[in-house]
Amino acid sequence: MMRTSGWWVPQAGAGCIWLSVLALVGCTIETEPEPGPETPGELGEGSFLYECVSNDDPMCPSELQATEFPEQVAVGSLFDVSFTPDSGDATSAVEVSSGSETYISNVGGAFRANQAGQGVLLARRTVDSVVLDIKHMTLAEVDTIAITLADGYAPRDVMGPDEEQQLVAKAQDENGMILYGALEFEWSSDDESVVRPVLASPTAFMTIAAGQAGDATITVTAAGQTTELPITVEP
Amino acid sequence: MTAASGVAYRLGVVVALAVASAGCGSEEDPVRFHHLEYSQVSRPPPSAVAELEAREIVLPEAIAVRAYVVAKDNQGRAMHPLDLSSDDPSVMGVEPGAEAGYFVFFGAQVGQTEIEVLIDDQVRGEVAARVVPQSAQ
Repeated sequence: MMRTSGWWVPQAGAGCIWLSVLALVGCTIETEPEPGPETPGELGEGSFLYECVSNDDPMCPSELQATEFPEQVAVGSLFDVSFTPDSGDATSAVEVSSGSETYISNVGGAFRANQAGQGVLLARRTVDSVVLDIKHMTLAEVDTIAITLADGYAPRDVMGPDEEQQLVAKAQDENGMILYGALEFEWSSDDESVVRPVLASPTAFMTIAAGQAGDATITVTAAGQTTELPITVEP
Repeated sequence: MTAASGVAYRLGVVVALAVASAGCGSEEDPVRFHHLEYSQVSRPPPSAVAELEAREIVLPEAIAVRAYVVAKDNQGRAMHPLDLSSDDPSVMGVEPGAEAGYFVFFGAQVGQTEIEVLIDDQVRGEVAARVVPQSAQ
């Protein structure tokens, strides 16, 4: 090594050693697994995969491919879950079913969260009913419905004539955490001559269009909860 | 002792021995199912408590646990091969796990039933099974 101006400068040979050490360290450091729609089963026999049944699920705003396995889903919402075993015969079919219909029921090929608490899903081998793995899920009551613009900002409460806004409704629990699963959001206006929902309900994504000047209220309802958005249309 | 009386005597001894041995056999404690033992029990969610007892299983509704289960007879010996079956799967379900000896219990709905203990496909006993509301814990 050479010392210049108080700094140790590694020579070529030493540099190679340092690079090798850094490379080894880099190889041994375990990186955090990237969040994804899969989560390991509680018995370590495979992975559960969360799937959205529609884009009304905030976990899948653009495609049906979920970005994560949700922490909690909304009571009243629909979702789907599949299972991939870590080992065994890949051709042996595995079916995911609910351990208690009180909490999670099967509705037309999807799951429905029925009651707040813990639900449990069982991954069963169809040939012999062996339960390979289990997954408990937290189900939470919808406390509020948040209405935002598509980019997450607050919607404007003053609009000009013929102006439009693209709104998104999301369910939240009592702590303001987003609840996942597809809910049926119903949109309405108390004066459609002032402001009206353009798209057909149910949908989480809604365009509202301003009409004549005045005051009106947009109402969104889902899972027994209602949120109102007062709008003033100025001439 | 004449020949005839000798034969009668021997016959009497044989009969007496047979009766005695039969009597001893009836006094023996037959092998019976006594209780279940559990190990390697999976952890339920933190808010739930699963109680796997020797003669009773208590689970909250919609909670599942897996355990390695051994049936013991009245002399403390393991009974093989073990299978478990729920009298009422709509209350508590029990299914075999991925490996031999493991079973998954799950509370389907609040209520009471029994889990039958089968050894070599024969029902040899049962344990009580109770599913309680999640809010009860």
